[in-house]
Amino acid sequence: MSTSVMFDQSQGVSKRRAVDNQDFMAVILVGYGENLYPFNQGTNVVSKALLPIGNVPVINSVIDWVLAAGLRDVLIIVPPSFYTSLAEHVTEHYSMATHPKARIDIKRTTEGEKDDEGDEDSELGVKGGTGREGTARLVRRFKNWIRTDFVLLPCDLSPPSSLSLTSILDKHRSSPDTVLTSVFYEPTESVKDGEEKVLVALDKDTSELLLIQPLEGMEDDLELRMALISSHPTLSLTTRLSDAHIYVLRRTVLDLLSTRRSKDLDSMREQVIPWLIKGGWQKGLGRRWAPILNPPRKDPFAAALARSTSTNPSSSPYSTLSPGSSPTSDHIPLPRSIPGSASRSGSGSQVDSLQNSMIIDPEEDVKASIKKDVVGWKCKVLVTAPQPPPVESQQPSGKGGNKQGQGKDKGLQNVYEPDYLIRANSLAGYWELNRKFIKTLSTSSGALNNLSNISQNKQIQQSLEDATGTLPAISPQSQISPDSLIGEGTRVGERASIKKCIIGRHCNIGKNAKLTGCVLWDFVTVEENARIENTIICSNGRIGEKSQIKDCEFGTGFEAKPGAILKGERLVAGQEA
Amino acid sequence: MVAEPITESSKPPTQGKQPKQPKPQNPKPEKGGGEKVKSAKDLKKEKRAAAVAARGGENAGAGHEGGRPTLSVTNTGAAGESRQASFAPSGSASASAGGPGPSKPQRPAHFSEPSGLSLSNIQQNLFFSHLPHQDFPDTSAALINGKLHPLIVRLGVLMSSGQLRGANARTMGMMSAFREVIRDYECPDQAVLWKDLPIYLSPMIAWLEGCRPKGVGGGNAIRWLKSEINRLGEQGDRSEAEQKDYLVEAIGLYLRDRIEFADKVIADNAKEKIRNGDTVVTYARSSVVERVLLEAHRDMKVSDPEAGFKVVVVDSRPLLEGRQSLEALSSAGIPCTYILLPLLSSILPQADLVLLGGSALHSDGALYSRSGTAIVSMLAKEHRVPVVACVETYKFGEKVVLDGVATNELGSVDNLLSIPNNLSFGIKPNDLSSTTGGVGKHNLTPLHLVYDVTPPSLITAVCTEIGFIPPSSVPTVLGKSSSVV
Repeated sequence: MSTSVMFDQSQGVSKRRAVDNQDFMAVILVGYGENLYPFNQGTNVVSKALLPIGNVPVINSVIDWVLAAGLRDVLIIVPPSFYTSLAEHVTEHYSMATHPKARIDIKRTTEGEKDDEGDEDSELGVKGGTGREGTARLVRRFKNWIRTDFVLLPCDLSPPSSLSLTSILDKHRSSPDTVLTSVFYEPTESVKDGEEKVLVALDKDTSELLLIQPLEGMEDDLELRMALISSHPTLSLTTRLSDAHIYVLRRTVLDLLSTRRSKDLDSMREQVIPWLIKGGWQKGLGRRWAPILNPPRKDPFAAALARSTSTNPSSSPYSTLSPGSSPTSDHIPLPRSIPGSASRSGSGSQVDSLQNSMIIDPEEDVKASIKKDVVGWKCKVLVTAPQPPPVESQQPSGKGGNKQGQGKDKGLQNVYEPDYLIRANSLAGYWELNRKFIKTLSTSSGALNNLSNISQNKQIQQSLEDATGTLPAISPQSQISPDSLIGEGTRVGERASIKKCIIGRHCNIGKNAKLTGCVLWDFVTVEENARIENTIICSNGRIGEKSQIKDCEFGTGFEAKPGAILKGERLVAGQEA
Repeated sequence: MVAEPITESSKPPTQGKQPKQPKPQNPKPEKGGGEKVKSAKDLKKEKRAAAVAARGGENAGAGHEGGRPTLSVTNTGAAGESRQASFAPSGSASASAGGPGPSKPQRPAHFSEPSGLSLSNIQQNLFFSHLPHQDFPDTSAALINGKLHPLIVRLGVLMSSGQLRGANARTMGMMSAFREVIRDYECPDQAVLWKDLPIYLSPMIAWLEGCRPKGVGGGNAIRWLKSEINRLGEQGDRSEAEQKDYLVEAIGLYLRDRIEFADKVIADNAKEKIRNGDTVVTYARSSVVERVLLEAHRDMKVSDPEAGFKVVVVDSRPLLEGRQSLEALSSAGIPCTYILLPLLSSILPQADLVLLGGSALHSDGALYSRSGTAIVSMLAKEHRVPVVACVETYKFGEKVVLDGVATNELGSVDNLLSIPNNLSFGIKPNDLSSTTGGVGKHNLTPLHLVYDVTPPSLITAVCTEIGFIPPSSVPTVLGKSSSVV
């Protein structure tokens, strides 16, 4: 036997195709970017997913994050207006050649299955309402595309390096009765004000998520149900956390959504998730939803989990099976070497054996009815916060004599940068992401990179020189600090100074222009002698000569007149200060 | 195992000398005395020590040759420090990694370590370094690799996270997972199912083994499955669907006969030993024992509502599985007492029976079970309380295991140093430095061995689905069942 297998292996491995299906897929929702004012108005608006951070669209970080976790199926749901640009981008960056395993599917929001009841109704609702459909309805509409459990992601996420999607999924995988695993994060100081303040209740022991309530519109008194407190005596309430909009959801949640009327469905974050969380501890709701969320005989591990010694008998749905003494227990099983006749189909026998373990004696009905109290599913939470600066150095490090090493450690810690989760769903968040990117350019560890960057720049420069044979693209008389990034095809004029800037592709920086802490997208023109500080200029922007601009954000195609002096403005094309 | 490292020992001579220190130190003066015979033995010893050291040095990496404790304090500290710095993200790893281990022997080369250095570094000292440990598996790599069925990945996470614990639960989970895998399996065009399927399954089996060793019961089940697949080859022409159906059904029958019905019969047998007014002692949690007690209680209540028995649930840290057992039993109306292991000797004089579960029963009759079981049975023997182990026959192993050192598992040490309800929260690793308050991190080795071995002399009887047998009858049963299986 073994030899034959060995022999086979030599040929068999190569032709073995990979296991095709996976337990999770990613659903990325692309929104309109309501909170990104100057970027989302005017002509040629770029989708929120394509906001460049270090000249790379933000959605790349999300997709990379997903693919790094080993997931392959990605469904991106895009508003129709952004479909083409995003589809182009994704097919270009995630082609079969570079990512042979990834299956990225891009759908327009309108493409999904039609709402089953009252199409016109919803149409009307859409027209009468905000004109934008809630995320919950979108997800429900695409439920036929979502075949497995899934993780719902925003398109504007920049996960910290300490938080891998794998760790989130593993948390979900490792708790069998979890319907939802959601991620909360501590936002950075600068972003805090922009985020919606929510009150979050969670149980740190079991890491259960119990309540999400927006602070806005809350009265002075906070009402908590006794049931909640009695079932979770150690719950903690906090307002420091924000919702990262990362939800790992069981597929059956979609079934629950489809029992709702579509006009009742709105946002996932504001509506569905808080509902679901409530159902996790409110017995009435929970029990009503349990048959939908926990369909019987769905989980192949149910019988195994019922026997697990770490399964809590009072709170786990599986433990109802555990005593499982059936009236047939006096039947003596004959050790059968050959499984029964072929007439019994495989599934039949499985059901049989499952039933055997699920029959509950009349005597145990009392117990079973107590057990019915068990909701059987819950919502978990994962909190991510930047690790505090490592404390090891403050501790007495064993023996003396290694002060040198300690000093080194401290030196490293001085540049320690807390690694926050940041979302580019507001201007502050976008700024923060860019700042973070610039910092990665300037950190000591990045010094080498910078060198290579510079040399790269020079190479680009040289190659451009060679190619055009005329003017050098980046003038040697210009000053570019090492913590700046310059996209390809950009021309920098003589005596221009660029510090801590991210400059997109094919920009044109005029002579003697001075840029500090700016983010320029592609095709931006800065004319001679302009001075720009702390400003974001979207694609095709134009800054006239000798203008002085500080702390501004300009939408796509905005043109500042020569000599304009602007400070703290947010303007879109065609607007005047 | 020995031959390979010796060749390596010649390569790094400085490392080779490390652990010689403890052993040859004594003989050296003697050698001066001129004892020729002994020095030859010493030479051998030295060689072996060098081999161990070579293995250790390999693991410690190039930078840590100086990690010898007595040689220079500074060096040890620096090595510890630097290692700590490099492992900082993995949290608990750093805490006692820099321990003054003279050797850091590596696990046998065939053991594929999925990821992470945390536990291996803490628990690697001379005696227990060979043991597999629970480590969180790298699921992303497993998924990217594409050789694993997602259900297997999920099972691995469940097992390594401790959600699925207990031999019955794990074996059942594994077999039901393979049942689903076989259902989804499609045989390639040119291949023969019975030849191709084992190749298809083997990376999954290996991965699960890396998540948590499957134990004797699981090993038996896998061996049975393989023989069953093999048998397909002998049975000639059948369509692929038929063959798959056959396997799926066979797995279902195996689970039913060897675990579910076995448990029922064990419960029927064992409950006869519980009489009205008895006090039954159990340790930790076993699905079989729990079932025995529940059924005994129910039957007793049916025949006489006044009758009943008491249960003493004995438990110990860090797993505290007894709590769940307690909850299940007391919610069924059984009067229970809950104690931790140290109190056992005071409770035993009132006890009438000790019921134990087990992970395996080795062929010499030794019970391989949750660590602490041996103490329970030893004390029970001292107090002349009969000890009954409830073990299904599929858990009978052909090996002979003399102690809990050669074969065991290293458990998670996360909760070992913290009080139970002060668990870590969020994704931050529960780093030991914080829980110990930074005290003595260099000389602290939290050790958690999951199992221990109870010698057959301490076990009065083994309750199996074929009846009560003495522990000495295991080989007989094995001989019989092997023909059946």
